[in-house]
Amino acid sequence: MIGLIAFIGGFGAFLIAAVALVRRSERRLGTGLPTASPPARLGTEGQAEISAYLDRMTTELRLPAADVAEVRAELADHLYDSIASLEAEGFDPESAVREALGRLGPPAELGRLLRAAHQSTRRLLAGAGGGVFAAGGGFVLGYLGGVVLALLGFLALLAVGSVLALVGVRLLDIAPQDGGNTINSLLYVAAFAMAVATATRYAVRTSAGLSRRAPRTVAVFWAVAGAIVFGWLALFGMRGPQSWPSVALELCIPLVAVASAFFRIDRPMPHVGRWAVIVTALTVVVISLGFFAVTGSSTSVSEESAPVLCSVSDQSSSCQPDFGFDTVAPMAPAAWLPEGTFSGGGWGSDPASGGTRVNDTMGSQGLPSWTDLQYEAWHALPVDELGPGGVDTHYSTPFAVQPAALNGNSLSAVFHFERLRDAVHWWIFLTGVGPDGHRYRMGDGRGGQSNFNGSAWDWLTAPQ
Amino acid sequence: MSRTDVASEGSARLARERERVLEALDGEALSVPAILRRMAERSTGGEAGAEHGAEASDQSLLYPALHSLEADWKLQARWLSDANGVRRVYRKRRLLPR
Repeated sequence: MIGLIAFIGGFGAFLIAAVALVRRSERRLGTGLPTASPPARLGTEGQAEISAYLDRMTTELRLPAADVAEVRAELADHLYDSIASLEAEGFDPESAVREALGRLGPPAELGRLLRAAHQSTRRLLAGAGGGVFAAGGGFVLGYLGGVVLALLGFLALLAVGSVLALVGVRLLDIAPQDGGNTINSLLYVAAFAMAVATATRYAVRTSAGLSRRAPRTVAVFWAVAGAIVFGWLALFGMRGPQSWPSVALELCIPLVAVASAFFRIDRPMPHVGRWAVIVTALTVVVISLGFFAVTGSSTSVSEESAPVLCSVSDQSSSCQPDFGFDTVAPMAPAAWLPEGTFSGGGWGSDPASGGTRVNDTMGSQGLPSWTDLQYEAWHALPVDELGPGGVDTHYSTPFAVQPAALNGNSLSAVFHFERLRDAVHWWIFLTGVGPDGHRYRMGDGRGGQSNFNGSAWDWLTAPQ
Repeated sequence: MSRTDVASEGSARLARERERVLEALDGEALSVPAILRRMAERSTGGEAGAEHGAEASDQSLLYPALHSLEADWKLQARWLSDANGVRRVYRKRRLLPR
């Protein structure tokens, strides 16, 4: 409990520090001080000469707006003081202006020296470090914001579905029948894209302010760095549900990083107020609780909670309808599989590999006259109001086969459905070659549901 | 004289100007006119007064020196308002408040 409190406290402190750093750095990118108005005694010509000098110097500065304004204000102040002193020493106004400007040296040279003074190596390192820190905070905040937006989008979709239902169109008939995989993966990638955009903008604005460089100057570095780091993360690092639309969007993540580094980068970040954060957080909690309260009892998309429809030893009435099992292979004659050949079995997740482990426990007599025992995974139909489920008879071959490994009196195999693109609903059978040399299935198998779980690269290189 | 020689000569002049600014400040918060006065006093009061007096009219390195010292965390600057308007004052940065 103390660890959890420390974690939440530390995480909150990190986010607050990141936002504070961004805001502090952004002050350098604002408009800054106005230049002091020239004294009334200065003639129009003198004012024009000073203004031209400052303008020429400013073109060489190439600093953030607040720094430019400060330097101009400071130098204008200095020039007005110098001119007043020189006039007190006996210079006429025109000569005083020329002398004061001459003492500061050529404006372009002064601008270059001031730029070099401001853009020191120390500030460059501070900008790089601060940019990375701000990017970390921006990524987390952007992800949370993306989750909120994705949930709001999902609610909007539900509202549209309700309206369409009134006119007789079922949204579920239009949506892909993949156990919610497409929608989940799109929500996931939308939140990720939002996180990437926020992180890149935070990095650019923070490092520009800290290193005293114009945002567009440092944006080139952060665009390249963001495209590489977040592109790598999108392709290989972020694991979760995937679908073709989400993978296509994940491949565009480098473009998101580049666009967010440059698009309207000179404008301040839209900072969210404290109350907006509190209200949004409460809304997310309420929506989430309501969502799980409504759907939690009836919907299951994870592998562990998927219903097991039948097992080898299951002879209940639920297995009576025609599930198309003969598509797999004919049932082994009862004489070759006497009562007690199998004493138990089932399936579950394999902690070591993250796959799905299926196993059967044999009785003491074993299977002496059977050879080539293997587990076959077949595409299955979803169990819903349209039908009882069972093997999808559109397929004539299994989509995955694993040899049954004998360990003591137990047969087992591990399937990696989470790495297959279209293994949503499946049915696994134990089959073997009987004494007559033909393959038979040894029971009615077991069914379940899995969703793809991996990176975009895993999806693209999946063996199907 | 090669370009490298010019650059190193420029760096040496800037380094000298930085030292003069630090000597002039000496723990006080001063505006630029006050810093210039202090530097002129030190120059004319010293043995090499004539030589430094010639440099007193050259202020081309004063602001680069001040701003680079501020960027290096050796000086801190802030805007103060007085009877003459808003003015930027500089002081040496200290680790601990006095």
